[in-house]
Amino acid sequence: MAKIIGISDYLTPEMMRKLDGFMLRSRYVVESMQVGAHASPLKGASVEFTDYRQYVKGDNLRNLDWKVFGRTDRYYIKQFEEETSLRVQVIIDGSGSMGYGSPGQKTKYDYACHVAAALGYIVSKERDSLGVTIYDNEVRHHVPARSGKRHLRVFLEHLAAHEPKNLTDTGLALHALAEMISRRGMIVLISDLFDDPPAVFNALAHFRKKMHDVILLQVLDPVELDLSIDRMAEFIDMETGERLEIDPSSARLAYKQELQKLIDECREKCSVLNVDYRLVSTDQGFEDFVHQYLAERRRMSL
Amino acid sequence: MQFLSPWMLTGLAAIAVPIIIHLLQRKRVVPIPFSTLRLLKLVQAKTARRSHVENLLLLILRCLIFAFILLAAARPVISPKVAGEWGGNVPRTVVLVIDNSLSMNYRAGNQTHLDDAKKQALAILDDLQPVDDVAVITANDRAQLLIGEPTVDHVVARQIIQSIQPTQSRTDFSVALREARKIMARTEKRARRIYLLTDNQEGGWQFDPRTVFDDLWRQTGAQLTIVRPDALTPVNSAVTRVMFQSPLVAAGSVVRGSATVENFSAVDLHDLLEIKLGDQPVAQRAVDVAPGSTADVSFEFALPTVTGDAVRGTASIQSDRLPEDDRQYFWLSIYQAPRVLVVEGQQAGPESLHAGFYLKKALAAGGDIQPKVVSTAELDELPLEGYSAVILADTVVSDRALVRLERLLQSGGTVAFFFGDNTSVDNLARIGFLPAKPTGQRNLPAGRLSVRALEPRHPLFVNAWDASTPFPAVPQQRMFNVDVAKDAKVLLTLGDNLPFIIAGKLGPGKVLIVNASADRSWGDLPLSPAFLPLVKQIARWSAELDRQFANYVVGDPLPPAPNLPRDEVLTVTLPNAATQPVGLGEFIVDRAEQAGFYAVTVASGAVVQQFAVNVDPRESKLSPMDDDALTKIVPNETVTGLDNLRLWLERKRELAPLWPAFLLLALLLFGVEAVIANVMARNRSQAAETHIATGRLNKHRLSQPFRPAESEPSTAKSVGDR
Repeated sequence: MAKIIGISDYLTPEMMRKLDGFMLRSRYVVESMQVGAHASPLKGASVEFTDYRQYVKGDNLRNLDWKVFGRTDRYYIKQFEEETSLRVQVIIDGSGSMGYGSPGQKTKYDYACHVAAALGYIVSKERDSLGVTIYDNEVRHHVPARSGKRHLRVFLEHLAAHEPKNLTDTGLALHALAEMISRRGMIVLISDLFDDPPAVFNALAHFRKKMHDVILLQVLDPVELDLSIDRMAEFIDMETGERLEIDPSSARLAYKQELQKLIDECREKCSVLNVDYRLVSTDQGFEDFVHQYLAERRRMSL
Repeated sequence: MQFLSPWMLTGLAAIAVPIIIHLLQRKRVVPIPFSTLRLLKLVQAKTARRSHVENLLLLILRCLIFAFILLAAARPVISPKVAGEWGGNVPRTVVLVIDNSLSMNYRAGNQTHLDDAKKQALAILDDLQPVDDVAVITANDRAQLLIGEPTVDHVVARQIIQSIQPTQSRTDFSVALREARKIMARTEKRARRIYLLTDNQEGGWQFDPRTVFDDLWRQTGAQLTIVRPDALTPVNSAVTRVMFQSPLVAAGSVVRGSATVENFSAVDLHDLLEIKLGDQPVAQRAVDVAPGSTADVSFEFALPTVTGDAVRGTASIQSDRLPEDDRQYFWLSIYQAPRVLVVEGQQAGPESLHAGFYLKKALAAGGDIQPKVVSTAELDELPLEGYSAVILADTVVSDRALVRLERLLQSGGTVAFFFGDNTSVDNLARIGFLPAKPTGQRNLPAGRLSVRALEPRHPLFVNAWDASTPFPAVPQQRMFNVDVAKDAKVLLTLGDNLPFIIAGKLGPGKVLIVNASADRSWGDLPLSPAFLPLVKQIARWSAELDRQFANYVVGDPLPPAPNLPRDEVLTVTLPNAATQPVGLGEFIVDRAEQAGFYAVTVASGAVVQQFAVNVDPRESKLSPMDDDALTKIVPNETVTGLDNLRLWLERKRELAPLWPAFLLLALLLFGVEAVIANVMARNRSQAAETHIATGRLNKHRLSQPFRPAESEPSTAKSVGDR
């Protein structure tokens, strides 16, 4: 009998309690069929007054401001900002490289799943829609965004069902996904970005062109960050199986410089595309990271 | 290059240790699954080559450090020649102390030991490097600094060594070794060696070692090498002394004497002792001396008629390998009639009652002495030069006469006193050179009083009285009580040990008191059988010179006789016939360098003084110093023979130690290795301190490097666990 995956497999009650005070809000207006707490491009019924306009034939008289009519004898319609639910699509890199984890640390994929679960919990709690896509060199799992607690379980089951392997082709997968998601929403991409950077950012630009609010979380293992290995080692590529013998201690400085260059490039591209970029190491507790990240977005009044 | 501890070289196998460690480390490459090689491939091209070079360099440096330390422990040395070729060397100071004493004239084959020593010195000189400096000293009983300041001019040193001449001096190494020590103390060269080229005669080491081998000697660190001409036991015998019963002989008389012959070798000596006067053999005696023994060989001969007042002679045995000590030089004084002045204090009455009557008769007996008799008053005016003796008979001495008498004594003359009724105790008390001071007269018992000789071998009694013919009893009635001076000798006592004849000296002059009267006023001594020979002996004794018995050896100063004429130009003729002037009041020769005869002559050619100088008998004992005894005195090495010396120089050459250079090299390499390792560590440290900023850095990650498991990829386990 297959194990039933629930949120408790990823989050403890204490973590959930800490996350209860947060919500994931989009920086841009989003489109949805449901009423929610997020700004919608449509004007409709809500408690948030926006503006007055002249009455035209066909307007709902419920929005006529009778007090202004009584003073001025003119018809003015009160306009209210429409609020809709958020559609969050979490995209996780499920390639072989994401399966790396140094001793004592979660694998990057595992870490990404925990972060996704935390975000999913918050989104689900706000009754927003949540979807998930897992890809490597193609899309392996795709669950469109829906709301509801049962859907959260589906979300988690897909995360758990995937095992990281195969090569990475982020560009191909994201372009395909961008065409699949028609309505504006939030895209959360969690990846180590060990891929062809131009292809990755072309795909992100595709999302941005469709007015999605894109969050890019680059997840790296501390060993990947520091190359903290003190002896001669033969490195085996987890995606290609290629082997390379190198003395990490002598190569460390150059390695860090190259990695920093890669990260700086990502940061710059994201800044240009207005993508919210974050680099996270798996030695940082995922709940801390999520807590810290959401708090930072709230401080920025998002 | 040689190694003094070659077994340490086996440790060079330890060089394999860093190599093995290096290879093992290369083999123990851990396979680590990693997310991507994208970045590692980029950096490998940049760092792999540098890392390989650095590691290889460190490996080579560590191997070299091992190698140099082990090589240093093996104590490598190189010869000075090789050191010179390499551009380095160990400058040395060498002092060559060459023994040129008499014993080095010992002839072995066609060459003397000194010739051998010179050849050995040249061999040592040939072994020196151009930067080595050398000093040359000759050693006998003194040191001659032929090259006192060490020089690198070996050509000059060679010429000086070749020009060293033998001497007849004895051996005393202390002087030369002290000079060598001083030279070593001044030099700044590190390697110091003193070569003592000698027959190593035992007599040369008869000195207090603490005066030479003191703290200064030890501080110099000089090494002493004794180089002997050969290891053979020398054979030598010598005539070491000649004695005569009387050095004063008359022509035609029989001369009796003895010669001492010493046999220093280990075999019996059967030889012939030959006595020569001039070139004329006068006596021969067979000599048989046991090994290591001494024999006194008696001889006698009739003195032929000779001219002059002295005759030269030699006592010799047949020449052996050291001929210089086989002959003893001597000379004999030919008896010359003394000139005697008799001073009478009492000249009243008939001549037979004069105080000097019996003296004059006794001296004139035989006709060989013609005494002159004067009164006390005449003594004041009479020049006393030319008289060998002045006999004062019952005389009161005036002040002027006293001055003249003292001058006579200072020139070696003799003054004899006979007392009498005119003699005043007070007057005698003013005479400072009297050997006894009269205090008053005393009467003696009647009859003949026995006489006892306290100094029977005194020259006054030679050929006159001895044990078989004692001094006869004397019919003496009165005499003075006297206080005998400390330095005076009572030769005869009368009766109850009363001083009768007392001898004293004033400089070279002789003073004699006969405690009796020369006339019959105090007794009948003039009529006794003792009187005539006594007076004759006094006259004869006055003709002898004190220094005739002096035994001079080579190295002694030769003093002038007190009666040498002061207004004449004096010249001394040396044994080699060379002449040199004699300064007034100076030694005839400051140091006698040769054995033989030295004659002092005046301008007319007359000989006024002569010496017979012989070699020091201590030098004849050629037995070498025992090695163990010598080692106790000073640490040394002994080499014998020229061939052995050359081998020794080859084998024991002053090898230049290389181990400090190796050790220094190892330290330098260690420093270089440390610098390179430090730079590499700094680069790694810099890499470790460079961190890529993430959301939040975990301090734990900074302090704990990743150590991957070797068995299986950690990632797979992590993924599987999930």
